[in-house]
Amino acid sequence: MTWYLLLKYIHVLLGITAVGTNITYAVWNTRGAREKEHLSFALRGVSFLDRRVANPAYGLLLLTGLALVWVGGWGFKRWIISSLFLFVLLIVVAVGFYSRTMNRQIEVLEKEGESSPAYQRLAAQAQRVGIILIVIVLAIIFMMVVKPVS
Amino acid sequence: MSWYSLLKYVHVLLAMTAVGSNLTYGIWQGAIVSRAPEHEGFVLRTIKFIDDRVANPCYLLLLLTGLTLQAVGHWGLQRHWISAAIILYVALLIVGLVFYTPALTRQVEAIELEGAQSVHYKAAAARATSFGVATLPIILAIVFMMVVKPSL
Repeated sequence: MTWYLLLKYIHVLLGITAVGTNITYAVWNTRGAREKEHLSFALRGVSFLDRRVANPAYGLLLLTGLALVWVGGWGFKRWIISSLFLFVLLIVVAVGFYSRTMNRQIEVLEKEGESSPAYQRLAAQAQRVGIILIVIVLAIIFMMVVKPVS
Repeated sequence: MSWYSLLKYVHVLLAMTAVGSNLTYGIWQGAIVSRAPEHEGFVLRTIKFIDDRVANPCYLLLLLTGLTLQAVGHWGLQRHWISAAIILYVALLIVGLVFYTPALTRQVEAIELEGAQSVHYKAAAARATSFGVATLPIILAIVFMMVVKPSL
């Protein structure tokens, strides 16, 4: 087995960890909203996963991805540049909007409760940003797997 | 874009969803719920929901898309990495569906009927954890076969 393949295996495992973790957020949020006594705990848990698991995995994905480009001699083909552009967009939306909205959501939930208009507005905002993130992630995976533009 | 590429994309998304979901179980049960044990029942019910409605259906669709990819891409079952992955997949199904899922069901029942401090719950939790841990090396080996495609 070559170093390239070993690195690709680690890259895929990081992708699975980051994206698979993200996908479960919706379930925890929905189940938390149904069982209101657990809502704050569910949001804190999702925030923990985001900070300690998904986001570090995304960071390492970038590093292993760039290493793969270098070791594999891929060069900066269009699908790689497109993916890098989408990745930057993902980081901006995730760190700049999603994580911040989620932190505000937890604060407002604990101060004003689940039925307050401020919480409802933040929950809707987090949901919208979450959907945007998933679309960007799907596009990155599409570029990585299908390599549509040479 | 060919049908093969589209199917491969769906196959990869299913794998990310199934395996990625599985990886979160241990984190919720370990690092997260240990700080707030009063939410353990909620965590177990939600993990059970994710396992039944998200991860396991994805694993079944993974088999279907995988076999279709093998047929459409003319890979042939005689390649060792494909046969090894199928054998590992069968082992995963046995450990997952025959042992882990029922153990998780009993764990949820035990916490709801007798509480987290009961002997029954502790035994059920230990069983579910061992089966959950046993699936991990199998999953890692399947992903290895799929990505590295070793000649064996």
